[in-house]
Amino acid sequence: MSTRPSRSNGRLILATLLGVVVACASPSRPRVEAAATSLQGARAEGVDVRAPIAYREAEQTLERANTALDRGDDAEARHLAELTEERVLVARSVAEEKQLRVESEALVDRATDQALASRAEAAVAAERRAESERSRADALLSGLQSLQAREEPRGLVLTLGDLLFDVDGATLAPGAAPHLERLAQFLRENPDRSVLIEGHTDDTGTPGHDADLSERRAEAVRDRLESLGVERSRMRVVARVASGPYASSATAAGRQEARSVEVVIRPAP
Amino acid sequence: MQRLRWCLAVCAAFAAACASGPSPRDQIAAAESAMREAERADAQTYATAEWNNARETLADAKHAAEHDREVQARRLAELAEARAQLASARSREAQARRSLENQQESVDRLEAVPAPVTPPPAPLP
Repeated sequence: MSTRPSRSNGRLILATLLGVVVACASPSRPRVEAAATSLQGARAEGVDVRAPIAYREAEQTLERANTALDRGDDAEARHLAELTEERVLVARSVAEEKQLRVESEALVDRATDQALASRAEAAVAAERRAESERSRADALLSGLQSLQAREEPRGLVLTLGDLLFDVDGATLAPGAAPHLERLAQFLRENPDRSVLIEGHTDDTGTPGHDADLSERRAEAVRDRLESLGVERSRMRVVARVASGPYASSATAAGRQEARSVEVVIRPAP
Repeated sequence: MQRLRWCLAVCAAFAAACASGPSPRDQIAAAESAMREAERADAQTYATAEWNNARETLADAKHAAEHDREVQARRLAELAEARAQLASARSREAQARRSLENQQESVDRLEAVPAPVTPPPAPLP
């Protein structure tokens, strides 16, 4: 026998090769194709972006399957197709977990934003309320300034001097009207305020006459305020004799002052 | 005789080419490592089916290795590794889903609570 392969030897080799190739190829081709489809589907859903490492492993396994297929190794191709499918599942799951974590972070961010926003909103609203409260108080005070209101611990005190009444009478002079209208407006806008109307009298003359006069003047103020829309129940009338800074009736001016009516607007409860 | 030798040589070459991949022992070690990873990810609790599937595949791989079915052992071990990885991934996925649901629940609860009542403004002097 020759050591050089004869022509018949060559044919035999070809036949063997062909036999092996035929035996190896390719009942598993549809499985490899199915695995490729699975991988494509995962890619279409962005799994390759969210789970790049796991996706790459599945892709490499599919490459091995195709190589096995080309080589005609049917059993290995079938195995690798199955392995590819398994790794596509892994990649999908990893991608899904990533997605859930992204959603979770977004949820936390949104909740934080909302909490901050509502806190900021509350702060702005509170500031706006305080501002409007301040400007309202300013407006009221400036409105009452023409009445020469003073702030005292017992409340805002307005003095309606002797000149706002008829001489020795309890009738309000025409000049009193604008003052009392402003006061009535203030009281209408501040329904929680109650009012103490104090008629003052001096210690001269017949006490009966002056005390009576001051009380009647205080009542006149109350009646006027009532006619301007202030509830009677919010107003209380008292007469005071020679009290407070008006005790000085030694002079005519002092006496005139002493015969005034004071309106005390009590602080809101 | 010469023909037979040629034939055997060619067939052996093909067999060697077909049987690619790592050795079964290495591959079983890799699968075991993936199983431990799945265990750390609490796969037994959160991905029970996948965990059991991986464990059974690994047992099959070891069985094949013990009976010197090298190729089968290697393939099963590869599958076992992938299945253990799937168990890890599904377990983490389930835990992430649960955590998201809990967060959503807390956010819903917070949103259901009415805005705090601001104190009334200070009284005027």
